[in-house]
Amino acid sequence: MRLVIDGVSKVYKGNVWGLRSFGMELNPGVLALVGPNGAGKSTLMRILATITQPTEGRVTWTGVDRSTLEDKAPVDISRSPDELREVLGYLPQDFGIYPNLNAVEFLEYLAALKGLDSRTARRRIDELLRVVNLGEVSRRPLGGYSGGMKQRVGIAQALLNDPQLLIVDEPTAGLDPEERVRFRNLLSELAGDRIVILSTHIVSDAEATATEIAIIDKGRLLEHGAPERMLQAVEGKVWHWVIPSKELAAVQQQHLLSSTARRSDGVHVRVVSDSLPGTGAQTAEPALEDAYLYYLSRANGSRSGVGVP
Amino acid sequence: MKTLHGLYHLVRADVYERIRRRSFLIILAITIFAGYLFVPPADAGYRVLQVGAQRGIYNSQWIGLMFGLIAAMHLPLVGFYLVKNTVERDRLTGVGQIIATTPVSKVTYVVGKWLSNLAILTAILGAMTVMAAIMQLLRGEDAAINVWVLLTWIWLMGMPVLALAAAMAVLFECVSFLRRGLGNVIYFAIWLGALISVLSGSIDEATGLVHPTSDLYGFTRQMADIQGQVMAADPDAEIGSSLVSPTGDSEGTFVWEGSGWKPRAILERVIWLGIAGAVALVAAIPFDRFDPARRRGQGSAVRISQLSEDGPAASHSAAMADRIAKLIPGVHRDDMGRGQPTQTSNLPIPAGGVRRGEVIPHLTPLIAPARGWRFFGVFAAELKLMLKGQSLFWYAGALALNLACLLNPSEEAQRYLLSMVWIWPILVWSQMGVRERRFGTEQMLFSVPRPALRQLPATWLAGVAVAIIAGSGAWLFLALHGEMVSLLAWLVGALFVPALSLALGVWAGNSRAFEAAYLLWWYAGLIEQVPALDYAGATAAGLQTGVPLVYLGISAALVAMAVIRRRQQIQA
Repeated sequence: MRLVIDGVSKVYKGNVWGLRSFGMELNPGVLALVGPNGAGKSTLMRILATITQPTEGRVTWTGVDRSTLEDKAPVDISRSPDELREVLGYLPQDFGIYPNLNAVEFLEYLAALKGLDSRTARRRIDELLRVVNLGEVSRRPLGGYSGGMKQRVGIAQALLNDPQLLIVDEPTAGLDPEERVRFRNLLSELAGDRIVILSTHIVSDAEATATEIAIIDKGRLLEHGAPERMLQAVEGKVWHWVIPSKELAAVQQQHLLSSTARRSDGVHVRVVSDSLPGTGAQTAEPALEDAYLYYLSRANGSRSGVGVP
Repeated sequence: MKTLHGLYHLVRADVYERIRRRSFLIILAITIFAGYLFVPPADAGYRVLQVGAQRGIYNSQWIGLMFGLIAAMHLPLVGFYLVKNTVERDRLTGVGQIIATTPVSKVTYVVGKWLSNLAILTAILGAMTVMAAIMQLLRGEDAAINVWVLLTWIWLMGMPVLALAAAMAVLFECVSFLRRGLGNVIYFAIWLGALISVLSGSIDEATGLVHPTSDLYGFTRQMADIQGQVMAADPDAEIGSSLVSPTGDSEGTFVWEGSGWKPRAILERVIWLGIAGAVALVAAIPFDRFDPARRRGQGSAVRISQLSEDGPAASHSAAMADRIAKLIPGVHRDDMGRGQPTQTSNLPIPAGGVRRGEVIPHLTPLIAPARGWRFFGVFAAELKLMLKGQSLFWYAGALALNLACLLNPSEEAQRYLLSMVWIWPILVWSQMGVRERRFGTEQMLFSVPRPALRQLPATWLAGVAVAIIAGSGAWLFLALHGEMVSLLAWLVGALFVPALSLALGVWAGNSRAFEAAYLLWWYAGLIEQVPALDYAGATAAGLQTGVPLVYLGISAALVAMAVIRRRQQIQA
């Protein structure tokens, strides 16, 4: 099982580049796409989900034959989108539901379109509704669901056909903290034998589940690798520093801060910087959030404290 | 001043949003093409506007009158459906809720929307005026173009009626039960009623001449002048007038210089404009200012990104913080916004939080994976989508209508009853091909294998099933009376209407296109019984000339067109 993205670009009307020569190879596991708003995450996901055609480049999918468990022949998803769609689960960032149907009916509809026979579909839907915690309200019209409940219906539909490639765009948007944890756990559980691509701008979500992280900004891939490798890159570059609150503005101007917290003894700041930001600062254990800011900042060259190695 | 400034920007943003759509250019292109057809050459085989057997030569007065009549009588029908989506767009995009939190008053909002609607229709009127001048030049019967005459005729006749249509569009969008298809059907009835009543009401039965009354279209004074001129030349002339008619043998032309617009006639037009303004203002009363709590329960497109978080799940928010604090190691209640976490919070939760003892959700792998097309499953689900959520009133009406068909009160009543079963499900059909866009499920549906082929034929046949269910009284009546040819023709109609709906829905992307086109088709084919437009075997002439066979072919072509277009949309 493999997904190869090769030099993919997407140009929208008015010469707006959604993606620029994007390339990466994916194997089973969870890839978290992180990046600021408008970075191109949704464009990439829509291309991978066969919704949008790339302007340049190609995406090749190598699926697995479920009976022999052997790799099938690779296909270009622009030319043969249905090969991928058979094994694709997709949760769009922005989607709707039919308010007069209940969750079971809505999922039955999508299961039929995905080609599941009704017995399999019914069993699967029961199980999925339990997994996403909607069992008790499954017979209520979707029109009365809250945003988080609808999001969980979306998650369930993406899993209907037990996809080999699962693409979830901002899946935890609208979920309450308890459901977010539940969903993360579900993703980790699913990741064993499929490729999961998850986009988020919440780095802690990525940190919890991802086996690989791709940082994307302005349509370009900034960094792609295991979280551990990214953490190593900022080893010795994250500082914990207590400063008087009146100096905060000046420090913010000069340095890249990944967090600030006011305490009785001053403001506790986390600084990402190649060198010691000031007297009294001590190195801290890097977190993924620090690495993310580090890479973004390095690409944009916006803060003096972070240099290009 | 501040209000005017706000109003200006409201209208400006709205107009920009609309004229930058490709559909607006298409409408202008259609207007130009229609303008070309309105002024046919002598050998075209038809005429637009003749009085008796004559028409005026194509000078500015005559062309102005023709275009003015079309702008006043027909453009308000097309125009209404064209502009009746501006409040809806604000509702769907969520912009409405943002506007609702600004100081813009309800009156300013509805007036802004009215003016924006009017601006769009005015642009079309402008295109028509330019086209009128071009056509006068092209036909060359009178080379002197009088711009002032063209402007006054077309704009004085058209503008007040268009203003009224623009205002009614806003009003209909603000009244909850008129917002959707039912409003479209009711507007059609109002438009038709107005047309019939103005045309018949302006004729004096004693003389057969039009008499200048205060009429909606502002045409009677001009028409009386023309009739006077025709009668003066030939007192025995037949002075009936028609807007579009085939050319016969004895047609001639005459020069009409027009009677000009007297202050009283202009005042009448201004009064109609004032009435239009009043209708727009009335819209502020039912306008709900995008308050979802005042919305009728269902039917609105709710997208995840627009949802307010005050749904059922919010009820347990108070106890939530404690639960989370227990659930996630390292998170304290105080870290979560004084123990009141927001439902959509993007609150960073530390990685890897699993509640002690919580079962990690587990999914059984699918042994029998997806296998090809499950037509019946999709068909059943499509049918459920169509029928679920219809009001009890709709079902009761359908039942009553079909029982009435079977009980057969009288032949004349039967004709209308049989026609009515073709109109009752119009709002069910008009959702075909549009529902995905309206409810924002496109991306999920389009990412299944062979989405167009798996879904659309099933959608079409579900529409056919609706026709058969909702018209069971009608076809049973035909079957019981042994009218087999009529029965087969009826079934062709059941194939045709959903095919038309599906094709127009997919191509136009909205339900209004079908609602407007089908209402006209139904009226012309089944009520006025024009054989070529009789899609359901209601006329003997239609049956004899094999019209149903043509409609069978058209149905297949329409379904194919829908599939082709949907495939293009998916690939785009």
